[in-house]
Amino acid sequence: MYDIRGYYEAETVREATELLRANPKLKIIAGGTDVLVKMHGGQLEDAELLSIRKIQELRDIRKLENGTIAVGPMATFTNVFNDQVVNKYVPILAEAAISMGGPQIRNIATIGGNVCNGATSADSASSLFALNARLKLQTFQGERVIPIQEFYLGPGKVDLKPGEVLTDILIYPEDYQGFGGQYIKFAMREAMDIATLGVAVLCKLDSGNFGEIRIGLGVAGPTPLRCVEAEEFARGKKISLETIGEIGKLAVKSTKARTSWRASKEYREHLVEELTQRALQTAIVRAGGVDFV
Amino acid sequence: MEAVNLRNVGHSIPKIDGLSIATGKPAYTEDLAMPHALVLKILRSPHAFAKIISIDTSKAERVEGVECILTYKDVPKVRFTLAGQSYPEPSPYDRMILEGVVRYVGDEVAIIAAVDEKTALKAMKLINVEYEVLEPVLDFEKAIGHPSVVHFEEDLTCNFDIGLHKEQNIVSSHEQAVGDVEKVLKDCEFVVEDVYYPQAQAHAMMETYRSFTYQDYMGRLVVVSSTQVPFHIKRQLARALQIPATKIRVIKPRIGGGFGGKQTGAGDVFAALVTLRTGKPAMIIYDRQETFSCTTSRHAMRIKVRLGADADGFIRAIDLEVLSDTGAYGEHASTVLSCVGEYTLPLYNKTKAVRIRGNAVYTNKMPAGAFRGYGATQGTFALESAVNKLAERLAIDPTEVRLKNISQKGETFLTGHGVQLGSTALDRCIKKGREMIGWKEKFPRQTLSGTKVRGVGMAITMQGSGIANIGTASAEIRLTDDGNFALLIGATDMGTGCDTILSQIAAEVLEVPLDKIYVSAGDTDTSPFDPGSYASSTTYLAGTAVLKAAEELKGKILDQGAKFLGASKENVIFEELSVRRIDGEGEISLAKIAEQTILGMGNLQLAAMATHGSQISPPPYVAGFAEVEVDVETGKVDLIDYVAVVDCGTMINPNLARIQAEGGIVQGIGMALFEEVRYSNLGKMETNTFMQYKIPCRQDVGNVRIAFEESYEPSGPFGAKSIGEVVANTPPPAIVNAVYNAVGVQVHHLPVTAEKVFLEMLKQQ
Repeated sequence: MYDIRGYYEAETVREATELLRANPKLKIIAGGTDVLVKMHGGQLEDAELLSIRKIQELRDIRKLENGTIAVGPMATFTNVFNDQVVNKYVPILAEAAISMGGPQIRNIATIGGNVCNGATSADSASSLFALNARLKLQTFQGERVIPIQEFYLGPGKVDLKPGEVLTDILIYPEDYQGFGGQYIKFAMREAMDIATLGVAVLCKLDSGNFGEIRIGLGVAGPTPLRCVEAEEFARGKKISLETIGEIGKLAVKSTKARTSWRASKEYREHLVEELTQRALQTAIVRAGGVDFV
Repeated sequence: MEAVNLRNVGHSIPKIDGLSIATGKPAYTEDLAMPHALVLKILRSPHAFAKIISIDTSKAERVEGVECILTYKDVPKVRFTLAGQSYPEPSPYDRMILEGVVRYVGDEVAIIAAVDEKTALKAMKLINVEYEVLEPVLDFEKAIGHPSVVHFEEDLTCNFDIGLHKEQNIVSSHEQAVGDVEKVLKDCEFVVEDVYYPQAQAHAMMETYRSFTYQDYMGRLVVVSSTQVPFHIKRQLARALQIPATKIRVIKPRIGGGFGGKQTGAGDVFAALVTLRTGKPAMIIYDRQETFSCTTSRHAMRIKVRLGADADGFIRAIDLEVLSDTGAYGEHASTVLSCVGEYTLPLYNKTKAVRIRGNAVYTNKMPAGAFRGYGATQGTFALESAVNKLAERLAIDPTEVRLKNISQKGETFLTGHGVQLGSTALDRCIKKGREMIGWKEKFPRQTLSGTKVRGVGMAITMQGSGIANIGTASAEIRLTDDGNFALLIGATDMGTGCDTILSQIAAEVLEVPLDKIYVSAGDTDTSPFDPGSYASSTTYLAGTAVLKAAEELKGKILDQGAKFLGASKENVIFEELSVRRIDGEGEISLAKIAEQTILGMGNLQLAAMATHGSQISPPPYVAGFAEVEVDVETGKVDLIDYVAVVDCGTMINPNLARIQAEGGIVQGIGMALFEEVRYSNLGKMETNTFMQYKIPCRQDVGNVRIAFEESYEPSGPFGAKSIGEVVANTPPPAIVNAVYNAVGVQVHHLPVTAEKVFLEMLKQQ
């Protein structure tokens, strides 16, 4: 049962921010695959919804002149998966997109909604963390741009201030150029499932050594996270199975995995160690390095 | 009747209702409900075991739009069972519509009837219940002798002795033994022993439980219900509501899946009670969470197996010891327990002694009930896992161990009371299956890389066709005034396609096109009696009833045609929808016969009714083969290939047989690999949505390949046996065995999850 008290539709960002200013209690609905499920389950009652589906400009995915990739938050997972810019420059985001739900959900669910829902299991989050994505948030009065790491505050909790609309997901050139990467979703089912663990690894090589690596994990803590210690360890190290193994072990140190019905803490930590190495090995190959498999 | 030159039987005719359902025509219970029907919601117990101290509905009753709120004070003080079984039911009368004691989280506390769902839910929140919380029995292995007694009431009764010891939480005990198992085991060269835990699988049918009730102009209670057992529901309601059965009519519309779940009542009593109290139409629809956690499931079990074989690899002794968790109420407890042995022990007949013994116990969890496979699924998992283990001990290929030991046509088996096996193609099923899967090349394992290992595993199974000496089915066929045929049946098509195949059987015998027959089914006012579609009965029993009725009616048509043609019956034949004299001196069309008998001065409607029951329950068979790929670093198991070769006797409709088999295999794959049931330590089911309770999706089931090896069952219609249940049984043991063959991990608790496999592999290192 959907207990919807009011429903508004904005056609421009300006209109959306005006409506939000007039009524800060409005709940933004994008694809609806989270909001409506919450309403159906009684976790969100008596809501007044603001739909931003009609705002065309929020759907675009484009490469700006300065090389920044700008992903419109209203791009659906199907849009993201099929997008040429994404596939050419940030393929780990396409890998994340296709791992989500099933075709019907991917056709309606949006990447912005995925981010704003604040779940540690968000399929886009590990990749966006690894890519150092920035979020542009607009209000009636102005805008701010913050790193995605700062946006996630806790389980289901994000730093979306009253009156704000997420209007762009930005990936700067220095965060994707020269990197190879892979996203691995580990789940109990091949589709229609929430990740037991999500692992996104990016890797840049420096003549046989690791230049820079980035490890983004989902469901390894209350929010998506980066494995800073492992990343710093890798810098400048020679690429070898031994180093990769050590990186896997260090990745576990950044996690705050807990036992839940999906997996025990111990098993999740094992998966972090194992899948980080796997994703890293693929990332090395995709960055033009040696194939260990 | 021989299966040769057939025009309808044996042909893949599309389901007669398929297009209507697929295009969304109003066909289901909710579609048929009156728009102004009262909406029912159930207030359910938050406690696993508690007494209701007080219940205050006054605030809730004052909510505008609330029609009535009923509690245990408002129901007849009579116990009944929701199990849809023939009278006298072997399930205990252990529940009331509502009671002052609640026995599991989700047990019913109050019924709220209101003008709409929102109002009913609003009222529900205003009901104030005070409970005295009792210590629940949650671990079924500790139920016997537990200080808490789940059913302490004095007025619990059974229709006959099922071995109930309620003070010990035993709802039923069972023992069947032929020969001296202990002695034979002692003499065996090889003995294997193991214990297996099949879980309380959910039916997960697409259409949840629902019921719509109203009173007709005569004051009779009409119940439109998504049920497999309309006649049983009628009898159940008569007892529970204490009204005469003549005052009740149950109608089964189209059903969106049952899988045995709808052989147990759910919701009908609540809607019916509200309609009787208010005189108004009422509808109850269980949501998905209620369907998962407040209805019934498969019986979770612990099955200890001991198998003994001689030096030549002949299985000489089988001993099964079963503990079955029936949950808070005993629906189907005794029969599912006995079926564990009933449908496994006859597989192997080189035995000198066999035994099954065990108990079904009450716990404070959701009741178990009927579920496709009905004990055979659990028994097959245990026995076949043990046979695979035995094969390894014997160092004989598992397929060869089966071929050496299975019962053959014309043979008897120890628990079979001397009845000879009328048909089996199981040997051909095994041989074909191992060829299809590539057994010789792949057994036991292939290492693909440092991280990926593939293994193959197999299992065989049987079921029954109907319940011997109990199951019955009736069918009536009428020649209508327009020269067509009305087929009246009590069998209940729940998506299985029985309306189609029963029409095919009638059309075959009557020698008319299928479109001259229309089906009227599942209405207790007009259908001839049939207990319903369960126990793999419909093709075998209802099919034979239809065949008999059609033969009788055809004789009557020939008689009547001959009379009109002035000939003796021997001198006429039926062809091209006419009765013709053999000498070519005249013919009369079916339409004309109909017209002249029924209308005007004919004064006769040609009709035939037949009832069929069987003293035997011929087994269909499946040989199942699984190939899995295990990721040795994560324990993740991917099913690559599943081959099932089925002997269901003659296939009445090959396409419908195939989809039954595919669906059953996938349901079995779910049980083997995905469907985990978890309770909190306070006894609340946690896996009560499709998000937590994982059924496999299309990408998870790999390549499911079905093949048939037909046999001819002399006692079945056109040689047919059953297919509905047997197909669900092989995946758990075959897949568990494939995982074992791949990485050496034997999983005893279903399902096989990545984490279990990985942690076991760690232990072995």
